[in-house]
Amino acid sequence: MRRSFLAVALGAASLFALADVAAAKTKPPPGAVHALADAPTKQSEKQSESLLEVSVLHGTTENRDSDPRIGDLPELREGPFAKYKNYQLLSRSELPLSKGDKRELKLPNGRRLEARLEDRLPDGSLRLVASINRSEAKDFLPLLEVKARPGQKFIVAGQSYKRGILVLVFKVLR
Amino acid sequence: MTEDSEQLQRYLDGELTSEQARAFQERLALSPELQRDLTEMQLIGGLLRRWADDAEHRAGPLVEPTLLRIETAEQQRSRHASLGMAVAALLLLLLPASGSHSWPSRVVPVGIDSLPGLLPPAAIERLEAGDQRAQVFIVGSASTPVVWLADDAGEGEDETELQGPG
Repeated sequence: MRRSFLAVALGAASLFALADVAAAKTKPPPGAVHALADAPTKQSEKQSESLLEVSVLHGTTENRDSDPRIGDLPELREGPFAKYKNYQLLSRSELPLSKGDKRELKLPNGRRLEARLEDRLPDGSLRLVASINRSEAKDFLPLLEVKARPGQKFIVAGQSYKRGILVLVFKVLR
Repeated sequence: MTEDSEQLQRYLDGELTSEQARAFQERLALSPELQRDLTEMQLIGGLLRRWADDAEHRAGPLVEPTLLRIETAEQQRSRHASLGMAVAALLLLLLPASGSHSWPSRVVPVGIDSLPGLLPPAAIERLEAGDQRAQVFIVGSASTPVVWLADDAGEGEDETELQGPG
């Protein structure tokens, strides 16, 4: 057992070492790196922005097929989501987020979603803050703070809308 | 265990001195309850002994094949370990041998994003639901966090219906 583990560990270490050597071979020479730092371009700024995809779904108990544009969301087949027989995609937006900026999205029920990037963490994950509120009315969701990596999702659901519910699926694209 | 049952057990096991055994027998003669307990213990003891004999008889033929299977599995594991070490050694030999090469001080995982099972899932760090009733749970194999807010005052609705998670 110990020998098998040692063999696997050695093999993995070798793979990582090979990858690092391969990465080192593709690094630009030191001079080029300084040049990029002196003259930041709009493209490099855009690339450093985070991107949050927000899909607004409408779930009802009507007996019909779900919207194929939603894609594969197995979460909608579990727990309280399974109570709703079909989901339709009402909108899908990509919100570019930079530290300090906030983005707004109007929801079909008249409320407003606000999202902002609180922090980019050293491990590659993002700290995002969202809220759902209405002008001249009490906030529906005053504060939601989430830590997520690119590719990961989180969901806010339950708002009533046209005999069903709204499901907001947030996905960190980068 | 009561004192009586302990004495009974010692009597049956022959652990009492002759004087103690004689005194216990006198007690037995005067106590139908103690006699009943003694009979029960003798019956249980008999059943246990029969079961043990039977188990030994049935397990006997299984022991040898089981030991053989264990030995074969050990040998296979040993072969796999040797093969793994040989592959690791070969990979190490493939690394370029140059004077400037040094062991990396930082290991860069390859394709870490393609190994989602190793990364912690998204996590809700703070939630202020105001006056709403909120439930937080996770769904799916990716452990997607969900905030479910019961909404009893949807806008532009024909009816006001509590849409709880059930």
